Amino acid sequence: MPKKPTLKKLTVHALRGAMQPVEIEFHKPLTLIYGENGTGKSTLCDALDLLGNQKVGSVEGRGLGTTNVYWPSIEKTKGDIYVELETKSNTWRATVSTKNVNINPSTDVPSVHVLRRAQILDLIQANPADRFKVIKPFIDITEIEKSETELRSLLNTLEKEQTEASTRLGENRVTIESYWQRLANSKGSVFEWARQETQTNLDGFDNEISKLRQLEHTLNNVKREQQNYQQAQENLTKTQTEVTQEQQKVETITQQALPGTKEVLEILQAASRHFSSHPIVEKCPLCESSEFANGLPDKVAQKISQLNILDRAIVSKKQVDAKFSNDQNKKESEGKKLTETITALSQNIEDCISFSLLQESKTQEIISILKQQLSNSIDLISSPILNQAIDSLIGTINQRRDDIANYKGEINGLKSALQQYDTNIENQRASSILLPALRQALQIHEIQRKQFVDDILSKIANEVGRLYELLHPGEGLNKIALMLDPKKKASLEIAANFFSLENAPPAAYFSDSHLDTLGLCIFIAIAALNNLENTILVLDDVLGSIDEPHVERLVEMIYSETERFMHCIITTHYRPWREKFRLGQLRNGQCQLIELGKWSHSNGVSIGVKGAPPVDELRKLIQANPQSLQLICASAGVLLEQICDFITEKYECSVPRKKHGHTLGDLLPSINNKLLAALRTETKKADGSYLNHTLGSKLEELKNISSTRNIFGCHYNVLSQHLPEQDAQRFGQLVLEVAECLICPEEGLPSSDRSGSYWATKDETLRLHPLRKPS
Amino acid sequence: MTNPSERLMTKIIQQLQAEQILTEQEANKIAGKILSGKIRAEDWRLAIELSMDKGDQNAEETHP
Repeated sequence: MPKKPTLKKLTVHALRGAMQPVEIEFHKPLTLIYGENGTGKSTLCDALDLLGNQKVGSVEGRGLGTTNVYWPSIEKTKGDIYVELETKSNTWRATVSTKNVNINPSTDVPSVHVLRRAQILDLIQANPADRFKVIKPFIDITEIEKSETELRSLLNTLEKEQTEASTRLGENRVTIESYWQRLANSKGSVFEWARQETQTNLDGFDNEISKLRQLEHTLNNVKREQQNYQQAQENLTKTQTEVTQEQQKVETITQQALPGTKEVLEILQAASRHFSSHPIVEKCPLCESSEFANGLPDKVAQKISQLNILDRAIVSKKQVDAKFSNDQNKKESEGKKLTETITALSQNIEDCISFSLLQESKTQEIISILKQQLSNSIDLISSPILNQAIDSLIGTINQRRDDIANYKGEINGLKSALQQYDTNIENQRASSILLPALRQALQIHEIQRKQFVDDILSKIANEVGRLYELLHPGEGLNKIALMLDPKKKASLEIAANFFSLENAPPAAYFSDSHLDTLGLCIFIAIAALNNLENTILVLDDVLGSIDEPHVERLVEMIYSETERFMHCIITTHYRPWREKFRLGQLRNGQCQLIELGKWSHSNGVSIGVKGAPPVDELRKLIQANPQSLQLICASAGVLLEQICDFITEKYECSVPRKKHGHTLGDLLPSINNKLLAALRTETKKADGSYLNHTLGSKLEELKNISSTRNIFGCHYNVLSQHLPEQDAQRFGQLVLEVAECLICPEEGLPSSDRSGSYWATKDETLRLHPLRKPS
Repeated sequence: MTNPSERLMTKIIQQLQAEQILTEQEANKIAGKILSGKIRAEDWRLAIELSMDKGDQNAEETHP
C-alpha cells in the first residue's frame, strides 16, 4: 500500500522568488518539482531550509557576506517573510526578524536536509576537517573521550605508583636488614626477628629510665647534702673557737679592771637607760639625795665611756654566742636532711634493684661501698669515698640511659621501616587487585568507543556502497570506506577501491559523474542516520552532470530510498524525468509531479498545469463534453505507440529497422497472432487477489482501426469528416482500456522479470503474461 | 533520540556491569558525571573500588 504523506501544505511568502504567496499541497510522500532554470525550484527548497535550518542555503557560499539581506523577495522586507508547513499533526511557521529566524512552535520541528547541486561535491572535495563537521553530530562523543582520558590517567598514575612502591619496598627491605645485621647480628630470619623485635614493650624502658633518673637525682642530693653537712660542721667548729676566744677576752678585761667594775658598769648602763626616759633629774634615783643631782646624766655618760672597752668585749662575746647557736642549728638541720636523703637513696636503690644495671657486679660493688659509707654515722662519712662512689654510679646510670635511648631509637626506626614496608606491601596488593579491573575497564571503554564510531562510519560506508552499487551496478566501485584519521583530531577521510588500488581518494580517480553520484549517496546515507520519520529530504536539482544511463537508476534509487523518510522533495529541470513520469515509466503512484511555470516579476513562482500521466489525460479527453476527436486520437495514438514499444521490446518482436524511430504502423503488426492470443495481465485487488484481463482481442481490433489515429489525430484529412465519430471514440476507448490493463497507476509498466514466470511491477501490483514470446 | 555520547555511555556501562567491574549502584552514580563531562580520575577509582568491595561482600555472603 502506498504510504500516505505526512506533509499537507507548504506556504511561502515574500521569500526569494515568491513575489506572490505560493502554496503547494502534498498528496504523496515523494514530490517531484519540475521546472526550467529560473522558475523558482530553489525558492521552494529555501523555504524548507528556512524552516528546518533557519537559513537560506541557496545564497550561501557565493561571497555575499551576510546573506539575510537577500532573503526577501524584491520590494519586500525581512518582516514580510514567512514560511508555513502543515503536517498531519502540526503547523510550523517561520518568520524572520532583524537577526533571527523564529519558528513557532519551536518544538518537534521536522529535521530538513537540503542537498543542492552546488554542494554535491562539497563532502568529497572538502578537507577532512570540514568533512568531519558533517558527520560530527552523529559521532560527537566528547564526554566519553573525556571520561576515557581520566580513566587512562588514573591507570597511568596507579601503574607509576606501583612501580614506585616496588622501589620503596626494596629500600624498606634494605633498611630492615641493616637493623637486623646491627641489632641481631644477622641471626635468624630477618622479618621474623623484626616483627618479634617491634613487639617489644618499650614502656619498661621508660619506667627504668624514670627510676634511674630518680636514683641519679637522689645520689646528687646525697652528695650535695653531705657536703652541706660537712660545711656546717666546719662552720660550727670555727665558731666554737671564736666563742672561746671572746670569753677569754672578756675575762682578761674584767680581771684587769677594779673589782666590781663590771657590776658598776651594769648599774651605770641601767642609770643611763633611766635618764634617757627621765631627762630632768632633781634627785638621785638611787639614794634620792638632791645633792649632786645637777648634771648627773652627764656624769653617768662620762663614767660609762670610761668603762666602754669592757662593754665592747661583752657585746662581741654575745654576738659570737649567737653565731655559735645558729651554726649548731644549721648543722642539726643539714644532718637531718642528709639522713632523710640517705633513707630515700636506700629506697631508690631498692626500686632499681631488679634492673640489669644493678645486677652487674661492678655496679653492685659501687653500691656496696656506698651503702657501707651511708650506714655509718653521718659524722663518720668519708666525703672522697662517698663522692667517688656516687660519681661512679651516676656515670654508670648515664651510660645505661644512653644505651636505652639508643635501643629505643633503633626499635622505633625498625618499627617505622616495618610499617612502611607493610604499607607498601598493602598498597601493592590493593593495586594488584585494582589495576587489572582498571585495565579491563579502559579496554572496554576503548573498544566500545572505537566500535561505536566504526559502526557509524561503517554503517554510512556500507549504505553509500549499497546505494552506489544500485547506481553503478557491477562497476566494482562500491567499496567505500570512511575513516577517522588517528593522527588528527576531527578528521574524516573517504577512500574507495579503484580497480587494483585500495583506499584511493575518489576525487583523484572518479569521473565527475561518479563523484556526483557518490556525493549524493553519501548525503542520503548520512541523512538516513537521523530519525527518518521526522526527516524531510530535499534534493535540489542534483542530477547535474549525471549521464543518461545512470539517470534512470538514480531516479529509481531515489524513489526506493526516499520511502524511508518522512517526505522527500526533489526538484529537477531534467525533462526526460518528467516525460518518463508522465508516460508511466516510473513508479508514479508514489510520486507527485508538480510543474513550475515561467517565473515573472508580477506573479513570482507559478505552479503550472500539473503533469498528468497520458492515461489520465486520455481518460479526461474521452470524458470531456464536447469531445475533441482530434485530441482523443492524437493522445491515444501516442499512448498506443508507447504500449507497443514496450511490448515489442519485452517480447523481442521483429520491427523494421528505421533511423528515426518507429511508427504505429511498424509496431502493431510486429506483435504476431500467437503473442496476441497469449497476452494477458493481472491487476492486484485490495484483498490481494488478482483480476485477469486479456489484451489480445483489443490489440487485434486496434490493428484493424489503427488508421483512425492518422485520419482523426494527425493530419488534415477530408475522410475524417465522412467517417462516423464512433470510430474515433472506439479507438480512444480501446487504447484507454489496454493502457489501464497494462499500466499500473501506482507503479507504471511491468518491467521486472524477477519472478521468472511473468513480467511485473516492483510490488507486483500488475503482472503481464507470458514471460517470453510463444514460438 | 539520545545523543551519541549517551548511547555510547549506555553500552560502556552495560559492558562494565556485565564484566562485574561496576555495580548497578556505582554505574548509576558515575553515569551522570560522564555525561556532564565532569568525571575525574578519582571518580573512576572510587566507583571501581566500591564495586569491588561490594563484590567481595557478596562473595563472602554466598560463601561464608
